[in-house]
Amino acid sequence: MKLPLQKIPANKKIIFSTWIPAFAGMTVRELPSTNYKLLSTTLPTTLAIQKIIPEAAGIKTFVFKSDLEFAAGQFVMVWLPRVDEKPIGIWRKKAGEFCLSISAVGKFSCAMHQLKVGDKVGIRGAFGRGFTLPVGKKKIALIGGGFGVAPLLSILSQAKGCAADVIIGARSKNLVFGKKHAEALGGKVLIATNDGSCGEKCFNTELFERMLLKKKYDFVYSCGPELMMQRVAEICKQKKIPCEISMERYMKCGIGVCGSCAVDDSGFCVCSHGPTIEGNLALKMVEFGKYHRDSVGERKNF
Amino acid sequence: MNLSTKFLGIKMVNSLVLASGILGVTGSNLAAVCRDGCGAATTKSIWLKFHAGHANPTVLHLGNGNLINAVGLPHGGIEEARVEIESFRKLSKSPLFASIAGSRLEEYAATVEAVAKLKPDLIELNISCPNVEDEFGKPFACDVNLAAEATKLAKARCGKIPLAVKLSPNVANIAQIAKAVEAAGADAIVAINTVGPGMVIDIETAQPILANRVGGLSGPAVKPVAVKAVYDIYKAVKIPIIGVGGISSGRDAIEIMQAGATLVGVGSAVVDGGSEVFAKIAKEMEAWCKQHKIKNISEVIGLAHRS
Repeated sequence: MKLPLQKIPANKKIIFSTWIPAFAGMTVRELPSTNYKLLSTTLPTTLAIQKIIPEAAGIKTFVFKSDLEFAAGQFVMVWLPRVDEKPIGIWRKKAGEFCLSISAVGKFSCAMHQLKVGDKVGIRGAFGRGFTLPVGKKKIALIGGGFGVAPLLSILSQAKGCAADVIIGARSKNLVFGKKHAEALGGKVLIATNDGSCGEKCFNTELFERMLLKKKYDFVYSCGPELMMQRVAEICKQKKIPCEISMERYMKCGIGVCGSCAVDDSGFCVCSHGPTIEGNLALKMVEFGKYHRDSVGERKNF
Repeated sequence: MNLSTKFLGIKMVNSLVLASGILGVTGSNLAAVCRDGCGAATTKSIWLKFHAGHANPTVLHLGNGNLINAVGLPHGGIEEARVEIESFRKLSKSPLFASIAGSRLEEYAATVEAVAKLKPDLIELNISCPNVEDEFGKPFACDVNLAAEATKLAKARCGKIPLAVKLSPNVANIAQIAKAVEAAGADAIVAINTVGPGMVIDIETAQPILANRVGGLSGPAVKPVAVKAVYDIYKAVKIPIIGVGGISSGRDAIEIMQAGATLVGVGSAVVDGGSEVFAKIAKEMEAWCKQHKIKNISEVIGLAHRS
């Protein structure tokens, strides 16, 4: 089996020299040096659900027993026969398992919520590039909105020794996801809700700005609604803090072939060049925070 | 040694074309592939009106670079095509080939007319997609008369833009269809579309994996089918051929050119090589030509037919 992540030598910098002028010479990231054990880059591997954890309103975490290795920020393609196949960010608390936290919003996710322990789903992956993890004991901030907190949880389990503030944002108390998981993984949790029913009554980006008045962060990671990530990237750019966000675009193949998740103007595919993207690079994308495309490629404004 | 070439009056930096259906959903993505080294890029098939395509899974990697897909020609319609082609023109000076899909002959005709106004460098008539059979029946490319009729209607609406017709390998005699298409006015033949269709079943759930159940095969495994199709077509027609099917190296490109292809389409090779695969193939073609003292790449075309 081919391991696509191994094709690029560890720590080789990818430079967008031939892409659009705005990116010329820009270093996107250093790739993680782990040799990943992929579950399946080709056909789906069928796995039974080991455990289902009810989370905040409308969110469930599905736990699978598997030796799949992945970097924080990567995703798997989850196949429900006769329903659909969707990209879902993965995280885990311990080796030998992985978790998918899914909010019931559409046809696929609602069908997923009907499943019981022992039911089988098909898994391809893990795909994409994970977050660049800090080396050594660093102060990091993880800024997550809604169930976007999920992929950030893996940073807590993989970036050992870092002091992490997990700044969770949700509309109201019953929608706050990930507090217990983040705490169990050693993160310090701060919560902001739109209606003030839990934690501070503000956006989590405002809470992050307030934190920046009293302390410094070495790295910032963010996943959630794009406008939230855009604000995080802007704040980090201004304060010159390295930052990575996780972009969501309509994906079909997950392996950089179908072109559904290509972004303007660079034209690269989020599934293979992302989904984690350096904040300053995201800010240079003309569509970041403005529009995305649907299943047929039509532009939809945020 | 210089790989630059001219195809039906279109200037290209090399003979490589991004095949339709791989990447190419957006103008900026097509431009990115051109920057990564192809001589021209083909859009995903354009419809006059919105066409949904199939649910996922739509593309599966079978291993060793071989794919099975049933994306089902999703497209937002002609206005989307206009936006994306304009976006491409802003970002790239490379030639752009517009692929066109339809369900009925009249629809193909109307789409060609609308797309011609967007001034692509070439129009590729996709009458051979095996993934919409449930919706529309056998592709036109599987019937001599329908293939010719579609070509005739399209040619009358292309204006000065050259028309290439993409053929299906899933026929008894592809050369016969190529001949009919040539007689109907096609300026070039594109061969081949995906092979099959085939099916993959997940034995744990006893379910076909593709949502469409069946899908077209592509990648290195279908290259011999493509080479043979191009070989047969070259013998039968005088118009140039864009050879597509399983090309992933310079040697593959030379091989299909020796069978008779003037241009070489590359698609599935992107799965293992990324879009950088175009620059790699071009470099390998150049090295091969140098080694064999070939000054102009056109000398390779049809070499396998010498008696």
